[in-house]
Formats: sequence, structure tokens, C-alpha cells
Amino acid sequence: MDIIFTIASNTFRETIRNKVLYNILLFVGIIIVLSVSFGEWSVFARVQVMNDFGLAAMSLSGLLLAVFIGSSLLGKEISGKTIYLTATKPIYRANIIWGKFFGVFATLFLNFLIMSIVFGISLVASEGEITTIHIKALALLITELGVILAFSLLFSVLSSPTLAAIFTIGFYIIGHFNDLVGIGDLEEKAWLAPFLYAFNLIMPNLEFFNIRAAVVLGNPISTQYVLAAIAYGILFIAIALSLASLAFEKKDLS
Amino acid sequence: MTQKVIEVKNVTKIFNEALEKKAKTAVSDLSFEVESGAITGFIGPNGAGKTTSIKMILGLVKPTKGTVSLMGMPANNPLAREEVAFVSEQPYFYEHLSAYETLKFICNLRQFYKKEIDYEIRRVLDAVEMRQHASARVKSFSKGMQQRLNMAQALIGNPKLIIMDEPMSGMDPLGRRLFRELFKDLAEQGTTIFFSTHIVDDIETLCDKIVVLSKGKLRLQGTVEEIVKSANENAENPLSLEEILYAKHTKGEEEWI
Repeated sequence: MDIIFTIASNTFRETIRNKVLYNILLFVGIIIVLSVSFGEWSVFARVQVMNDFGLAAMSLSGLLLAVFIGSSLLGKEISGKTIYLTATKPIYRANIIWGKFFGVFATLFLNFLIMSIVFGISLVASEGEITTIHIKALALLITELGVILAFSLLFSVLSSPTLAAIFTIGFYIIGHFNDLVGIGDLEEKAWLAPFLYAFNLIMPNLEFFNIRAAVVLGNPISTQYVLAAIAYGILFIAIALSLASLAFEKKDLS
Repeated sequence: MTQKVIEVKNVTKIFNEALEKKAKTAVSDLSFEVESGAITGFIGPNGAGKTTSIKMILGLVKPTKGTVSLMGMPANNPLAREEVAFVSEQPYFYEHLSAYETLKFICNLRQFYKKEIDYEIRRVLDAVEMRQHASARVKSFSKGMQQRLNMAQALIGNPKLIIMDEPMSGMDPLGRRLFRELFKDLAEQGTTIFFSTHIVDDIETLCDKIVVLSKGKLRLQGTVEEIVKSANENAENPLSLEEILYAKHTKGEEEWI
């Protein structure tokens, strides 16, 4: 555990200096400011538009961060040979994977926290209010980012950084269309049912983490649902990181 | 009593094995042993397979065939590296860290107690005469200074075996001299040193034994004296080790150096 913490804290320090982070934070700031402006122009309630835009912007920027950092970090360590500093020590390679994950996740979390504060301030300034459903939405968003980051690390072990980034974006898109199981229940599409169920089991359904519509419309979301979704996310994080650890153990670090 | 700290048995490494056209044999049916307490030189020309062999010994690269054991355990077992350190040819460090932070990172990976870390860092920085640069960022260091830091990180925890891949490449004469003295001191303290080089002079002055590699194959192994003696049997004008290797090359027997 100490070794994972050591690698995680070093990774956190390394990634927090990454200039991409600042660019993405700037991007989020702009989006949130824009959402306030859109709220002014909109025929819909200003707060609803702000909720929708703000959460979408945070989700998108989180995705970009997870893709850029997650898919390149390990590749950069291997091509830059800094991996030798850790891999030649008496530690299991799985520790490197888990340490990298927690380090980058801490960076994502910090950014997410800053974005949440900016979002909260802009919401309150626009006469909106922060409710428990906002907290639930943010908790689910950061869990989703954890899942994306874990799969991004898995892809980076199996392929090049560029391919890993492409696969991660593909994973994000597919993950959000992974709630189509019901289509198989339609009579004319019955043949699809087994495939969709299998797909639904193997791939994480990222729509579980999206309660933006409920936030915008003010629909209640139970705490049990949020806890179950977080547990579901943690399960997929553990699966992705375990697979990444297995693959990394067999990888030649030349 | 001497022990075998490195055992390489019939090892072959083929990169890109699945892609027939791109497949490249880096090491072929290589076997040798390194015993504890000695300085063993691993010599061969560029591209001989020295670095690949070292990576297999450290468990960084898996052999296509054969077995590699380190400290009596399979090389890919992390426990085998408990008392083993590595110095790479090019120093690779995290640029955002200072020399002190880099060494602290290594101490933490080696699971030092917090109270021991400062003492250990001072000890290894003194050994490479770098204490005054402890707080400087690694990216501001010259190649020679980075290589000294590279050596310092290897000394953490007093490893029983230090494996080095051309540790003196790119160093100035002062640095080379410091390293040579350090190697001798370490050997006197019982540390086993296994280092690759293509500089015959380093081998002659430092090594108890040598392993000579060329084109991925073992060509010679033994003590410098044994090799020189056997090559100079019945010779009118005895040759030095460098001349022996060079003579073989010019005769077209093998491409050594």
C-alpha cells in the first residue's frame, strides 16, 4: 500500500504540472461563463440551462483530461525510460498501475473540485441553489471519470498512446449507448436481445452516471441509486485495473 | 562462500517474433553465470546484445527461450530484486523532482523507515560527491551529474548486487575516476558488480572476470588473466586483452570491438 501511495503521489505531482490541465480548466471556465450568458438569453429557466451546460462542460473536460493524461502517462514513462526507476525495484508491476491510477485520479479530483466550486458560485450568483442532487450528480460524474481513466490506462498498456486515446473516446461513446438492452425486447428485434444483454454485461453502462436530466428537471434521485452506481463504477475500475496489471506484468519494457 | 547471483541458461531473445519480416534476434542461446563478491565485466561491441541481456536479468524483458535467475530466483520475481540495484546507461529521472526528492522517492519504493531516509540520502550523495546539489532540480544537471545521481540511487539500501549498463559513458575523467574508486570500495565491502562496457581499459583495471558477447552470442568468459594467458600461449610477442580482441576482429574470426 505504501508503494502504491509513493507512486501515486509522484504521479500526482507530475500530472498537476501538465499544462494541458490549465488549458482544460480555462475551457471549463469559459463554458461555465457561457452557460450563464445562455441562461440570460434562454426562453427556458436560466438555472436549468446553467445546470445542463455546467454539468455537461464538467463531464466533457473531465473526459478530455482522463483521455489525455490516462492514455499517455504510461507510454511516456516507457518511452522516456523513467519506468526503469520503478520497475527495477522489488515491486510488483501491478503497484505501478494502481499507483498511476490513484495519482491521476487525485489530479482529476482536484480539478473537478475546482470546477465544482466555480460551477456552484456561478449557480448561486444566478439565483440558483445548490441542492443534494447536485452533490449526487457530481459524485456520479467523478465515478464515471474514474471508470474512463481506468480503461484508458488499460488501453495504454495494450497499445500506443494515440490508439489508447482513440479507444478511450470510443469507449466513452459506446458506454453512453449501452442502455439499449430494451430494444431486444421488441418483437421485430428479438434476435438482437442476447447480443445486447452480453454487451451490457461486459461493457460498463456510463448512462448510469448521468443524472443531468434529473438535475435540470428537478426530479429526485435516491441515495441508494447513487451508492449502487458508485459501487458499479468501482467494480469496473477494479476489473480494468486488474486486466491492465496482468497485461503490464507480461509486457516487455524495452 | 561464493554464490551464483546471476544465472543465464540457454537464453534467446527474439523481438517482434510474431512478425516474421521484422523479427530480430538480439540474443542467441546465451549462457553464463556471475558469482557473488566479484566485479564482472560484460563486454562487447555496440549491438552485441548486452543491454537486452541486462534487461532480461532485471526482469524488464522476458526471454523467448531459456531461463534467467537473479539471486537464486526467477528474474521476473520482484523479490529477486530486493537486494539488487540498476544503473542505466542514460540516466532517466522525473524532471519535476530535485535530486533529494528523487532519492526520497527511491527510498520510499524500497520501503525505508521515515527516520532513516535523510541519513541514507546524505550517505549516497556523499558517495558520489553531490551533496551540495541535493535541492537542485534534476533537469538542470549535466549528463555527468545525472549519472552520479543515477549511481547514488543505486547505492540506496546497500544492495548486494549492482547491475550497470555502461555506467561511465559520457562522464568526464574526474567522474570516471570517482566511479572506478567507488567500484573498488564496493567490491571490498562485498558488493557484487556486474557492468557492461565496450571500453577494454575499464575491464582490465577493474574486473575479476569477464563475459564477452558479440552478435548476441557468448564468445569468451573467464578471468582476464586466463583469457590473456590462453591467447598468448606460444606467442612470441604477448598481446594485451584489447589487442587480443582486436586481433580476432582483424582476422575476421569475430567482430568484437
